[in-house]
Amino acid sequence: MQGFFDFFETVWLVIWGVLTGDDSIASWFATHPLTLEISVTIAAIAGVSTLLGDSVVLFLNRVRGWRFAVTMVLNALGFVLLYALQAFVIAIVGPLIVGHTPGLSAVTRGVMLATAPMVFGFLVLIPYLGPAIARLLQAWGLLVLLMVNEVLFDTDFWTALLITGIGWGVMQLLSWSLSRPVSWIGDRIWRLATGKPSMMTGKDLLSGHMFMPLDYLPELEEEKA
Amino acid sequence: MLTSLLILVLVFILLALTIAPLDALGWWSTKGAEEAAQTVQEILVEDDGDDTPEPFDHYVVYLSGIGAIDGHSIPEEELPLVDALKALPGTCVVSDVFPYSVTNKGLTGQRALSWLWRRVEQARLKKPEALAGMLVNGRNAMQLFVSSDRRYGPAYNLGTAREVVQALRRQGYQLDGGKPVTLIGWSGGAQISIGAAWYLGMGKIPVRVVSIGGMLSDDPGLARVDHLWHLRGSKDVFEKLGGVMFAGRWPRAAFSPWSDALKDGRIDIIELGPMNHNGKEHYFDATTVAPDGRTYLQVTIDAVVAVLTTQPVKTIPAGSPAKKVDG
Repeated sequence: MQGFFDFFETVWLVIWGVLTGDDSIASWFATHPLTLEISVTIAAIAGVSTLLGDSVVLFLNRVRGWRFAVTMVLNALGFVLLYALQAFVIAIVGPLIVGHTPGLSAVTRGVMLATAPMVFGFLVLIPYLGPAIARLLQAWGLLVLLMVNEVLFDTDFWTALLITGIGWGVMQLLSWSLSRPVSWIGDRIWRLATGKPSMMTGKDLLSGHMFMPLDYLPELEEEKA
Repeated sequence: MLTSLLILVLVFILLALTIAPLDALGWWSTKGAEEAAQTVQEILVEDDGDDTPEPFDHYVVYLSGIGAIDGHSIPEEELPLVDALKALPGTCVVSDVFPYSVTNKGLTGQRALSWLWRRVEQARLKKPEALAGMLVNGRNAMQLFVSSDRRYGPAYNLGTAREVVQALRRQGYQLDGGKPVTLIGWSGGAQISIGAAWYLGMGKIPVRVVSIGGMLSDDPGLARVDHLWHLRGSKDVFEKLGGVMFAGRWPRAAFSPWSDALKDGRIDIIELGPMNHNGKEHYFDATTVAPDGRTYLQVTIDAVVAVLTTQPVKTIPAGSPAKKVDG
C-alpha cells in the first residue's frame, strides 16, 4: 500500500515539476525506474479529468453508475492511445529534422508528460468560462510539449517548435479526417447499446425533437438546420 | 499566511464553480428528462379540451434577484414592487418560483448543505449586510452562468420553464388559451427569464420579459420573447458587465439572438436614472429621492407598471441630483 502512495506522490511531483517548468525534473525523471508507468499514469489522469470536464454530454444522455465509470476508463485509455499516436508521429518527424533520435520510448514518455496541464481538464465544467479554459489548457499542453521536445531532441527553440508544430498539425489532420468515421462508429455503438438514435447534445434539447414526433412543428426543423 | 488564504479562497471558488452545473445535470439525468418531456408536451398542446375560463387576463411571474434563498422569501425591499403588480387590474402575480434551482427547491430545503444555508439565512436576518449573505449571492450568480452556458442552459432552462408552467397552472392558467405571460426578472432573474422563454414560447404562450438591471446574455430564448423591456440604471456595473462578458451582446455581434431581437425592434432598453445595482442608491432604494420627488424604488415600480400598461416610462433625467431621506 505504501508503494502505491509513494508512486502517486511521485506522479504528483512530476506533474508539479512539469507545470512549473522545473528544469531539474528532466534529469531526475530520466533516471527514475518507473518513468513509463508515471508518464502513462499522468496521461490517464489527464484523460479522466478531460472527460469529467466534458461530462455534460454523459449527463444529458443519462449515463450513470457503472456505465459512467466504464466510459471514464475507456476515455482514459483512448486519451493515452491518442497521445501514443502523437508520440509516434513526433518520433518519425523529429529525427528527420535534427538527424538523431532519442528513441520511441523516450518520445512516448515525453509526450505523455506533456499532457500534465490536462489534469485540470475537469475545470472545463465551469459554467460559461469552461470552453475558454479548455483552449487555455490545450495551449499550455502544447507549450509543455515544445519544452519536452527541446530537451528530448537536444535542440534549439525554433527546431523544437517546428517538430511540435508538425506533430500537432498531423494530429489535427488525422482528427479532422477521422472525425466522421469515428463519430459514425460511436453512433452505431451507442445505438446498439441504448437503442437510441444518437448521443444527445444541448442543441438537441433546444430543438425539442426528443419530446415530440419528428414531423411536429416544422419551424423547429428549420431552427435546428 | 495571506497567500495561503488567497489560494484557499481561489480553490474554493474554482471548486464551487466546477460543481455549479451538477444540480441541473443531476436532475436531468435522474428524473428531469421525463419531467421535461411531459412539460414540453403540455406547452405544445393545441387544445387540452378544458375550456374553464381563466380567472385573469394577464399573468405575471416575478423572478427574484440572486439574493433569494427560496421561492417564498422575496427580499423585503422588493415586496412593494410585487404589491404594485398585484394591484394591477386583471393581473395574477406568481412569485413562488425560485429561479436558481431547476426543481424549485429552496436553499434551505432538502439539500445536503441546507444546514449551512439556514445558518446563512439567520446571519442575514440579524445583519443584512453580513458577509455570509454573499454566499447566497455567489451561489445563485453561478446558476445564472449555468443558465447562460450553451452546454448546460438547455437543460437548466427547461427545468425553470417547467417550474414556471407549474406555478402558472396552480393559478388556473390555460396553456392553450393564449393569455399573455410576462416574466419580470430582477438581476439574475432576468437571465433565467429569457432562458426559460425558449421553452415557454414553444406553444401558444405569448411571452414578454421585463428585466430590472438584468445581467443578460445573448440567450437563444430571446428568439421566442415577444418583447423585452430592459430597465437599467446608468451606474449599474453588473448590468453593464452582461454587455461586456457575453460576446453575442457586443455592438457588432452578427447572427446573435440579442442582435436579431434588437434588429426586430423587440428590445427596448430604458435607462431609469443614476441607479446602482446594489449597495446604495439602487433600484429598490426607498430612501433616495429623485428630483421629481419619487424614491428610486417608486421610479422602478412606476417603470415596470408603465411598460405593463403600455404607458410612457417616467425616468430620472441624467445628471439630476438625488437626496437622501430617512427610511
